[in-house]
Amino acid sequence: MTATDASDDARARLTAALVRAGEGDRSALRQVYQATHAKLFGIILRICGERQAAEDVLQDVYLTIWRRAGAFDPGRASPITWMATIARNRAIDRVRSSAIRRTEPEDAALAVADESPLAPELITQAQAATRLHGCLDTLEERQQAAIRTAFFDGLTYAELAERQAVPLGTVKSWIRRGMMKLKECLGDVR
Amino acid sequence: MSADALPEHDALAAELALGLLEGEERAAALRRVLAEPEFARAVSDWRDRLAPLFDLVPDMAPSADLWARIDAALDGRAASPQRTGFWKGAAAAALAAAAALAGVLVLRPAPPPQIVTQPAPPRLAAPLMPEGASGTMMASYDPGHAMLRIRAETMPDDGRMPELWVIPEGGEPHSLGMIRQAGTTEMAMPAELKAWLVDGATLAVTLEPATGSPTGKPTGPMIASGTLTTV
Repeated sequence: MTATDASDDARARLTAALVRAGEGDRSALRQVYQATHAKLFGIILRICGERQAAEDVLQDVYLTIWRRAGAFDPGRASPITWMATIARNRAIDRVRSSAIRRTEPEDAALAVADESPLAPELITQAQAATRLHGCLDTLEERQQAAIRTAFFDGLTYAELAERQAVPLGTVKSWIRRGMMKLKECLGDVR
Repeated sequence: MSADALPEHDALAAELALGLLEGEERAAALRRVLAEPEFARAVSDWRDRLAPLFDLVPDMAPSADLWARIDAALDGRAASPQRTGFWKGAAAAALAAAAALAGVLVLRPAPPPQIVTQPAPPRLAAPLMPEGASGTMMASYDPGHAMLRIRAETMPDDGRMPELWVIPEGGEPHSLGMIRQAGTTEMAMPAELKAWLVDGATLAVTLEPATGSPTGKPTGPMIASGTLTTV
């Protein structure tokens, strides 16, 4: 079996488990948890920066997935993207609703590789990943860095400007120009 | 084709999908998601474009007992001490902020905290953070009695009236009814709305005509929003 087949197969199994969880099958939710918790925890921990808070968010995310799995539309989104988006949004909500002053991650384990992507595993079709990373590479360094940091750390414009020590308008223009180039490069998603 | 900039609505959709916006800008963008299906699709397209970035985040292992905690929470058994402590703390902090605000405004004696833990079912609460001129609002929901309470302190007075909405994650807003501009509104929730009032749902307040939104969807500016969490 090729790597792509294996990844398709894993995605199909995850989709099936999520659909069963949506029908109230708790063993299916456990299967979803086993297949995805390390990925979701990585996303959340990166944004929260602190294990305790990140575990609270992770627990919350699976309870949300359990309640919302019935609404998951396999034709619309990949299961892991759907879950990763919930995880990212909940982590951002958690950080912004608390008064925690975020600092740059000091733990090397929290740093995100910004060179070659890891194996695309379950996440997305390898093709889409290759295309996005190829397109990101066409952006200016600072545009690319701003978009990556915003995505991985869940920062606002104000936080991004502070961290990069540049005026807010500058960061905004990097992001907007970068996103325009990215869209041109990627073409239609629909 | 190469333009100088993305069309404004698309740039805004990208910013919302990335989570860059806050305060009034975020409120305005969220309102457009609710009101304009085309804009909502643009936001979701940006999420799809960026999704492969999730591949780059390294896997991390949470505590080995986390599944057991989730499993217990699914049964409605007591949540872990850590989690309860965290959310209680968050709710208490929000209450303290709301109480401090009430104290500053000296409008009326602050009512006693309504957020109390009960055996079951657990109550939910949401501090609604202001967008612009309104004050923080505190909402609490008692699923046992299907009773929602929301307390408002100050609100823009422009002839329109505040309407409360619940937005399930990834879903459409549903009206919960009109609320008072100041003081506590108590609302009994009918069965069809109870299903939406769960941990993680968003509550939002918009300004609408006195008889309520004419379209059944938010039409006016959002003045506050927050996420319901178990306390």
